[in-house]
Amino acid sequence: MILILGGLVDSIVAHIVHRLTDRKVPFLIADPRQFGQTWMLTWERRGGVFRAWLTQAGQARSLDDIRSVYVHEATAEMQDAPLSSNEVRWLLNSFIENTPMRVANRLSATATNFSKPWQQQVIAAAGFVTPRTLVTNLPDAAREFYGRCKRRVIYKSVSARRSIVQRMTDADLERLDLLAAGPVQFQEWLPGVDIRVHVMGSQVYATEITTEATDYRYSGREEKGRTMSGITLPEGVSENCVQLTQALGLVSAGVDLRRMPAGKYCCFEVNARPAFSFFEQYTGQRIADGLIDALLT
Amino acid sequence: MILVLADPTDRLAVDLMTRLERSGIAAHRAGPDNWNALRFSWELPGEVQGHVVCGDRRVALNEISGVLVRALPVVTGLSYKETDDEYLLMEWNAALLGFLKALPCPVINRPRPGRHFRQPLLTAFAPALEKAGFLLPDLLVTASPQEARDFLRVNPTAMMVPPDGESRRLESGVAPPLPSCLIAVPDGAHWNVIIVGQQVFCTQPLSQLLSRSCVAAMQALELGFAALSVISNSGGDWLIELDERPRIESLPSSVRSPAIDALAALLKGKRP
Repeated sequence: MILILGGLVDSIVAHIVHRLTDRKVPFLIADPRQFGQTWMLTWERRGGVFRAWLTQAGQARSLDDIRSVYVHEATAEMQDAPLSSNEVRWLLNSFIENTPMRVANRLSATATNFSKPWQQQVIAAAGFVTPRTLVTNLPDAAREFYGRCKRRVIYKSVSARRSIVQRMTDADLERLDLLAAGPVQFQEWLPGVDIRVHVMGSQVYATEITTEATDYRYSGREEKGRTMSGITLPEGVSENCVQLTQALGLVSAGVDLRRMPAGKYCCFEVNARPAFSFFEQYTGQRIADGLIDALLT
Repeated sequence: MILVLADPTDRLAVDLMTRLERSGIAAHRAGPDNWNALRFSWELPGEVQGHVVCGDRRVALNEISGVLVRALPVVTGLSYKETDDEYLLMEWNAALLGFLKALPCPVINRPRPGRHFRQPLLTAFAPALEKAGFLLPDLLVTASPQEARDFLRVNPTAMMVPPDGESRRLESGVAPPLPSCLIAVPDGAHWNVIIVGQQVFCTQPLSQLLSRSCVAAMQALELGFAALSVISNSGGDWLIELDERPRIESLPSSVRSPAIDALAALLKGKRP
């Protein structure tokens, strides 16, 4: 039995539920936005033994038969609810962090993406090439890095907060004084082809993305085309992606690679909450089935 | 140079900096009052390269002998209507996590994204703590008033940890705010132990076994400085709480002073 913490209103959760139903895999779904209204979760550690149960309509249901948990955090503020979003998040996070069940993904693993330069050091240790990166709030350092990288530099958020990757231009040199407000991450722009690799347990699904846009996710904004197709990675690269995912404590992940002209693979970051259904639509890859297999392992 | 990330009112940080300055060691502080007091440039991958600017002085990162982390930028009550200030705090938090991971010097304690040792999250580290020689108390995490009442009936001296607060004893007959983590507190001798590196400080003499357990727990959790709240009885040593950023101003100077000395020695890159 798989426990899903997420709402059907979320397309990824709906997609997984559809695949679970189709494959006749038993599951239980609990929407965090309904916590305290239609259900509650309690956990304990007593005598060294972990136990958890759900309560619905006054009836407690043990989670002893749950093998694994898929977590998709509530994406909206709770309205008119007996508990605040932070209270629900605290309780559910304490459960997913402490339960001995297999969890895709625990908060401590997901959080490795909260700091891109923190994660980049783990990526480099896993054997991937990583781009030359500067993190600074000093205008002169940014200016010097831009020159040293022959003006081929992008900038993006340091945290997990989604930002659109931007190519730095000479015009940006005029506003480097804004760095006084806080640090920014600058990276040497590397040529090559973007590849999104979805790792689900030990299964690997690679999608090659061809576009002229700086950030393929927003190619439409730059009025640039985009094509996506499923590919097979060299065995060593696939293995590295699986090992990196495991090193970060993740069960499922989206690994962002770029195949450079010399054939080497550079890794930019690992997304712990990949929106994989978007890639399935273009490639026909059965990534959700890979996730279900990983949860059943 | 020693870098101190702390609130300006943090007594431990103030005492430490005073002591360092008296012995001629430069210390620079940044904290929640002004994270921009830390101006830095740092490059990766490879060996740590970069510098920090302290006043008019530029210090290479490999000249930093140690960092004391008492505070990090934290966004509390994150909402979906994020403000610029909240965004900047997240960026500062992410930058410092990466920066502190890269520094080759002692960082006390080196933070890791999403890792916390306060209750109820200690349960996740139960195997390591039990191997170190500790027992963990029974606990319940609930949002149900009935379940909380049932737990308190069996454990009338329980402690509680609410989502946004410090752990505290429950007043008899007062219902805890929910959700909460309720912790059964066994009877026995209570120890508040400060550990710095491999040195153990306590107001009362500790058994060698308990001292060894404290140091082993710190090593298992990769911590250099923490306070442990322990109860010992015939069943064993129960680890009730672990605080990796303890306030020690209320401790007698016979404990506080040598603990700060040991901390200073660690940050200077010397083993105490």
